[in-house]
Amino acid sequence: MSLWDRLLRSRRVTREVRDELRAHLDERVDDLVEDGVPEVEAYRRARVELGNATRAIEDSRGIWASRVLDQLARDLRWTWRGLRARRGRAVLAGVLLALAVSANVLVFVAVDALVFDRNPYPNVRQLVTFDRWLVAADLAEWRRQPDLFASVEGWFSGTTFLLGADRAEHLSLVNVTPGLFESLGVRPAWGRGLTRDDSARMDEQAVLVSAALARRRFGSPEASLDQLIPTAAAPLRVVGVMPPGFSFPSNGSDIWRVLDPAGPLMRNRAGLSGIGRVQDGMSFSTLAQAVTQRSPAVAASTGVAKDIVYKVQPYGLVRGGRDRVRMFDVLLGAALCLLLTACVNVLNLELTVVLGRVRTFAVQSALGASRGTLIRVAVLEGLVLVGASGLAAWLLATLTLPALGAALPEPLRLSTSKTLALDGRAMVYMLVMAIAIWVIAALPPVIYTSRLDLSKPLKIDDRSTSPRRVGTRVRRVVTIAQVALAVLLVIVGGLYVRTYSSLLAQPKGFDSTNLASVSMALPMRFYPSAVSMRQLSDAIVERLRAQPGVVDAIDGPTPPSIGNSPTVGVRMVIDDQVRDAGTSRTFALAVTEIDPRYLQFLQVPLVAGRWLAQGDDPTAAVVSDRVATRFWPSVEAAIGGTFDAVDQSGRRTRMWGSGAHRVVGVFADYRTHDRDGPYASRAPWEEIDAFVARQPLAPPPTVGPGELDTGGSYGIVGVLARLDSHERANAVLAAVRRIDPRLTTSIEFVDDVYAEQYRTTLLATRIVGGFAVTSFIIAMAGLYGVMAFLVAGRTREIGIRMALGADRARIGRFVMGSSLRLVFAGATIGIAAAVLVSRAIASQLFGVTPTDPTTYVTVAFVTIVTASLATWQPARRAARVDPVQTLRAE
Amino acid sequence: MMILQTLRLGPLHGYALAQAIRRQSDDLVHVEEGSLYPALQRMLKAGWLAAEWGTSARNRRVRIYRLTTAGRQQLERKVSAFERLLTGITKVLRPHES
Repeated sequence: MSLWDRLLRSRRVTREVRDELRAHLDERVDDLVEDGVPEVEAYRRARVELGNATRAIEDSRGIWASRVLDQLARDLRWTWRGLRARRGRAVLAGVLLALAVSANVLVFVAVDALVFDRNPYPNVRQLVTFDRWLVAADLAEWRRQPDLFASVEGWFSGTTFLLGADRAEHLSLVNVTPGLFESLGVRPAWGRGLTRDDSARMDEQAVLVSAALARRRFGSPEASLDQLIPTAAAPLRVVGVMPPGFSFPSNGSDIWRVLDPAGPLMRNRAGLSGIGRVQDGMSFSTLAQAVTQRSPAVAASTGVAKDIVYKVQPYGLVRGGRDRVRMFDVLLGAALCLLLTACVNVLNLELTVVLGRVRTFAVQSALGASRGTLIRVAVLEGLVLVGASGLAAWLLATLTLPALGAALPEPLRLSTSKTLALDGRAMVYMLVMAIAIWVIAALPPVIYTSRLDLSKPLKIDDRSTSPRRVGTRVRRVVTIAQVALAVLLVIVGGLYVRTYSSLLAQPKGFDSTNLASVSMALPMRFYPSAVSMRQLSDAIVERLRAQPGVVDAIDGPTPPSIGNSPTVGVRMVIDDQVRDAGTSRTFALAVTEIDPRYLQFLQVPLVAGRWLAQGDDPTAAVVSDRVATRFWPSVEAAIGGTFDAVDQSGRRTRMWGSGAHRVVGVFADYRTHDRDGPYASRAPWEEIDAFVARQPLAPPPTVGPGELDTGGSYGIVGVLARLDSHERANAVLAAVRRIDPRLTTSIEFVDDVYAEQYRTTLLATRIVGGFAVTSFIIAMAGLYGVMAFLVAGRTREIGIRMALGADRARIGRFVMGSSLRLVFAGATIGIAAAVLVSRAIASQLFGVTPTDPTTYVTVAFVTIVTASLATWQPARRAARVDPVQTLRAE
Repeated sequence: MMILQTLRLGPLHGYALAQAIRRQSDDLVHVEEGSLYPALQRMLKAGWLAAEWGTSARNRRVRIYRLTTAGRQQLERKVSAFERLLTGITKVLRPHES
């Protein structure tokens, strides 16, 4: 018989026996009345003869229900009554806990997915990546080492333009060798996997697609099988659909195309990223050693290079840099602080309840409830509270998770192959938290209850203050802790806010007002040559200049990009002398062809020499004052100087331009990369940028036919336009779109592009700030509660003081003073903690020192003002105590 | 045992049962009538009695108890055990008669 049935039966028996007893009584009364007994007397006698009806019912029920169950039922009933009696407070406690727990779960889920991407594929523990690109010969050679590797596969990312009815969709596409997914331990959920035969056909290429793409384009995964997708190059044949949620190598990939490492897709490519699956039973360290040892032999037999050392590393378990990990530490810390504040506040509320219920307990124990019952009820109340708020938190987290996912900055979202989900780990985390909460917030009242002196229970009131005294002391400590936590969080939040605003306020070094970038991604099928692309960009510039609201437009890279990617690992040749960047660094040189007016258009100031001019040949270059003073004694001395680059062995490298350049002008450096920000790349090279005038293009196409095959080769045409207001953006975009409606055209403001770099910081700022404000409010509410309780408990004392001559202002000051003492203690602890914590997060701060006086003083000031406001009402109530009334109550 | 014995004569509801016992014992047995009901529940649970809701002579909704076969057997066992006990006591009290 189930517990429920038993409880139900227990209720039924109670009801039936009660009915029977009532009938019995009535029958007896009727009998007596018939015998001539007056009705009132008859009723009395009937009751006497019947005896203790309640005991009869209890005994009857006891026969059916087991003792334990009955007790449980009664405990539950009392628990329910207890919770109902403190409706508002119980709900408040539940809401507080639910908020704090859901915040914690969300942060945990994000950290779990974004930092610890543990198990994206079944075989992940056996997977290693190669630290250099592999060519077909490398792959073949490593596959011939079956004692080390079960398989060696390769992949590279690209893009493709899927042609639709009216426009080209630009999607990322990953080229994978046929066995790659098998190595990962993943199979398509619909259709079949890629095979070696697939890689032989180039007129139509076999692809696997994501379930999301299949749904979007064909309605369902089943419907997409065997479909042909037209692209700007060879069409793609869908042979299989991957399971929902699958991604490789990171989020945002939708198409995986079969790749023959020796086939035409590899034309013009330096190599592939390699993934090896370690042979069963081989440890990583053994493998790493063996790979290093066999490197020379493998390199020799590939015939590609001689002195290559291959290295492998475990497939990325911890993603993101140290900074990101540290940022998540802060978020997790903030969430835990918030939780702790909420717990402490709930503890505060619970203590009030227990203190307020000393009398109730006394009455209950007088009615025969044992100490055990009281403790059980107190435990149950805590469990019900924590359980209910846990459920609410789970619900809240489920509801807000999609919003969190959407708020994640793109680079963060794409850096993981996991989607944010409330999985088993989150469940375990929450369970652990719930237990911790119970211990912090619900256990102390239980202990307190168990220690209550129930021998003199009914005497406990305002006069015998011992339990209240104890409670008040505990609550003082609790309030100090709350204030300290809140102050700590608010200071950290404040430092983040200041960091974000300093980041945004960094001078860019050019005029970004209303500066917009209009860009189009071009399939090479439509624009096969650099000439045709140049023609398109000229057409866009022309259209923009004619467009109302456009002040000026120019063809050129969108800052912070400088256009060309730099050639890294070079040594500079300055005025025919070879220069090195330093012992552990090299130079990275980028020489970009621009419209000669480009820098003037940006309103970058000229420091020395002249601007580039139409007709300058590519040897004439302008450099920033940073570069000029890096190599020459002054900016003036740089004019006429020459620079060039050679590789580490001293050979001229031709990748970036045509030989030596001569400095004709020096401009004031403007902010291109995030060179000085908190997340500045710690790249081991020093970047040197230079601009030369763009050259007229020779008519024959400069793009080789090999690149066309992939269908994803494309150029980006980017045009800068200075508008007269932000509102013009849509009209401008529409005008440009009309030039070639097939293309994906977009517009964005340069200021937004810069702000985008700090979106992660913004997100952290918002989260920490939100937590800080919440915990501050909780702490102040807690302070108010304690002071109100204190005043209520001391009414008599205050009354006596007043009767003895204390004036109202003094009483008010007395209450205010005892409140502010708590706040000072809390704030001091909080500030001390903040000094320690902020030092640990110093690397994430920018434009503000960890012990920024403004932040600390402001927070201290705000805390004291708010605390005074929170105490104002209780203080006023204390001052209004009427001594006559208080003493009369004696 | 008295309850089972009384119910052997026919089904009765709680109050009638209490009155019957009171009459049979000539008002000698004075127990709280309320304690009858837990006893009835115990016997219901043991399966000696069956109960169903019906109406009393005054048209009140009452539960009417009747003896089951198991109850009858139980009564016989109890009566014989009691009789043996009674015989034993009697023998002890009046040894000269045996």
